Amino acid sequence: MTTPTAGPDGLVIENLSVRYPSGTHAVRGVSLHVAPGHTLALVGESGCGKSTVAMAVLGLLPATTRVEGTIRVAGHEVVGASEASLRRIRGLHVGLVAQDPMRSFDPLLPVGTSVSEAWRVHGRRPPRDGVATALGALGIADPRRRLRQRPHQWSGGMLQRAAIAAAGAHTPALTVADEPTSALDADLADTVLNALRATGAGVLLISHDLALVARHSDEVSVMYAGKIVEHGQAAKVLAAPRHPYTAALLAATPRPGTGLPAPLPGAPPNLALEPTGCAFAPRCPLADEDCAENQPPLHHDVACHRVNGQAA
Amino acid sequence: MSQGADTRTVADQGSPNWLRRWWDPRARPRPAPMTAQGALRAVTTTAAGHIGIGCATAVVAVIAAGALRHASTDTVSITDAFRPPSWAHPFGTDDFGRDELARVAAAGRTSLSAAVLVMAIATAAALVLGTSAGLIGGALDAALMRVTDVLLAIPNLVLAMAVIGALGPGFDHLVIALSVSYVASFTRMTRAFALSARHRADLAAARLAGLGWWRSVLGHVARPVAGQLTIISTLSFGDVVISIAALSFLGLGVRPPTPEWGAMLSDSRGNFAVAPWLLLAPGLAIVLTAIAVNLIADALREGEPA
Amino acid sequence: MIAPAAVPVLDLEQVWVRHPGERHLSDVLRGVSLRVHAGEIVGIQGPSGSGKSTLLRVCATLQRPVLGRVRIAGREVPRGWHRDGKVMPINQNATGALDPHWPIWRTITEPLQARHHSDRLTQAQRREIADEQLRRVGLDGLDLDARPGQLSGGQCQRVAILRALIAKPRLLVADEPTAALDVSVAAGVLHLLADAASHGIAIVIASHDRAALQVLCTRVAHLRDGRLVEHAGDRSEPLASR
Repeated sequence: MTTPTAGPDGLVIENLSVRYPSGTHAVRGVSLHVAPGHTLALVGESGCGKSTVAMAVLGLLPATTRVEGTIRVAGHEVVGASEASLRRIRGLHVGLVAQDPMRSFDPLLPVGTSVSEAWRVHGRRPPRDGVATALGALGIADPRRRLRQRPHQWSGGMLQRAAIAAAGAHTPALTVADEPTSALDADLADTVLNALRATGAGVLLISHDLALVARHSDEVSVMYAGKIVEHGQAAKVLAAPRHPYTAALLAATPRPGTGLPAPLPGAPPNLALEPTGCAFAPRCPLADEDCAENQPPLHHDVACHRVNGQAA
Repeated sequence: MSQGADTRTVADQGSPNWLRRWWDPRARPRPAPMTAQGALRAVTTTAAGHIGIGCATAVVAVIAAGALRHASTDTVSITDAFRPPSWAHPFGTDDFGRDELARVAAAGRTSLSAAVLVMAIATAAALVLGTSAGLIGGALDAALMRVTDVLLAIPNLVLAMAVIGALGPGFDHLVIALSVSYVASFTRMTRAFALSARHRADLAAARLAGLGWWRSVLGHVARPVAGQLTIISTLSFGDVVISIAALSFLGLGVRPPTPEWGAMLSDSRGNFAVAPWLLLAPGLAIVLTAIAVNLIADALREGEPA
Repeated sequence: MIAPAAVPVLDLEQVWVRHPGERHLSDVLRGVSLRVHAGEIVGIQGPSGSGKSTLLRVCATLQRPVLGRVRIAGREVPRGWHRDGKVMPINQNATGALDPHWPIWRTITEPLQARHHSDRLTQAQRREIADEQLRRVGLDGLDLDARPGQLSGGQCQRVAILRALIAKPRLLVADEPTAALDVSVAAGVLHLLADAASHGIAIVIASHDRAALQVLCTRVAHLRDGRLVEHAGDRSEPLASR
């Protein structure tokens, strides 16, 4: 694990643990670091805890959740912060682009009004023509006329870019994008992600789409059952995965010319129970008794006994 | 430079205690979708349900007691007129010496059976008309909506009075008169529900598989519609009882000597100074019935999944 | 190779569909023709709003075109609602495509209750059939009485596919079947579809996942400006095993 060397900028998460009141241990000791201007993708299947991490960074988990560890956004601590300080952090230091753009906008308000809310919520007014300029910079044609329209008159891809404009209103150090293109057609995904990275902020990209991640992120962390099992440069990890889960995910992604993709056997584990040994062992083709008994630590950015030798 | 792990437990509210769960229906877990057991549980474990059942039991007890007694409602005995409540006449006697308890009980049977009939007619009509209009659409839907538009523009009681004016008073006419506006409003609600169900994918799959029109509709649409109708009709029941009493109070309901709460209330007005208990008995009966029905309907509604 | 004389399972001939828009009628489909034979998988691709869903609704006989003919197994679709189970749908949102009040054994075996099936099945028989079907797709641990709300998206989609396949349809119309699914579950669904095709079922599938269409389909068609343009997929030899 690269030691976080960031100064006051970017995102630093150390040993984050999130437990829901139902007993589900959704996040189990996650550490990661997003430097400004870099994009880190957090990938994994549904239920692995990646969306929980995103919500934790924004302080949006329900009050009954037990959160431990540290989350520092541009130097400000989020875990345990009061609602008042969280409200100052959100928007100013961290922005959110959520999954479904249609749900991020009030259907009765013109899009321009919703975007300018990003400024007004912090007691400021958007600079003259600021909204139109921001939208134009993201590739929206004829922004001055468009911003008077309502969300249903915009396409999903355009709305998502408006959401990016709103998230970037105060040039925050970090933008959290939670599956920003899942609700959109594939041809829009690239446009939206280019717009996201153009803002210059650090980006924490949550996604289950490995092909998209390969094209648009600098680093990738693979999550399984609440833990990070592999981490590294996106190109390297996705071309030559070391952890068996990453390899299995790639094998399950369709690629022209390779026949039908192979699904993983079994199902992800129930996060209400603490696993003995590696959480992936029941589904892993390389697993042995050591894997079933001891949890592999994250060593050289991979959490796997077989890869790292028998280092316990 | 890493700081030490900061363990800070965000406030753990804990689950609400039993008193909170009894009093506030929103503090309880709600199963989805609503089942018969869920409904029963909603009514029998909440405050609203308990109080409602309590009032309902009181009313039912009075009706049962009256039915079991030997005193009839028609035995006129002028010498016994205006007797205060006693062991022989627990609710006293009225201006003709008739036993008040027997009268209140008989009136209860009349009012409640009339209300049940009104609700049954309205529910059945709404199920058929509303579902058809919503699912078929077209001319049938348009025609029905214009008719209900007109009917709903006129207040319930006024419409009922107009119908009774045309047909004359009496039990059957009372039921018909009140049914009219409830048929209209229930049909509209059912139609809205059926409309939203029209494009559902499970209905399309059933039809494509070759299942007949009625079969697929009954299987997929009828059940949730019936559930909604049950709740709507229990909510309206109290309203109907009060409307019956109001119409009888005005002399437009059942004909004397058939007793009816509203009519008894009206009759007791002139004699209030002499026999105040004659006002209390039917009045309390109306109030308790309305409270019982509204609270039980409320408990059912709160028991619905979010 | 399919014999050229075989009757196509789905035959769309010069189909036009109009949409009443804000100020004018817009043509969603312009003269679209499509033929799908038994065992073929045809993928439909196109930018958002291009009319993929409308085209699929026409293929599924859920929408009538303004012009043109739709033939299923050589016969034109009659007016009114009489259908016979030859065409079955698979939707994007699987949880919404299943009746929320029905247990899954009932949903899976529902198509077997249609009039044109001679046997009347008892509940026990239906449960047994459902159990066997669930085992085929690796869901044998699932409770037969579970309701869709208790299942994950991937499990719901597999239940929906079982329902679609149980009465042996001739044509399967799938609108974005893997859209909301994890990559592993989506891979499983692709296998199920390929397996269905190898049993002679024709499949029309719309998806924005180009790679998935390329590996699964025998032909892939692009829908642009209401017109369809085709090219070959990876599985150009239908019924070939992989």
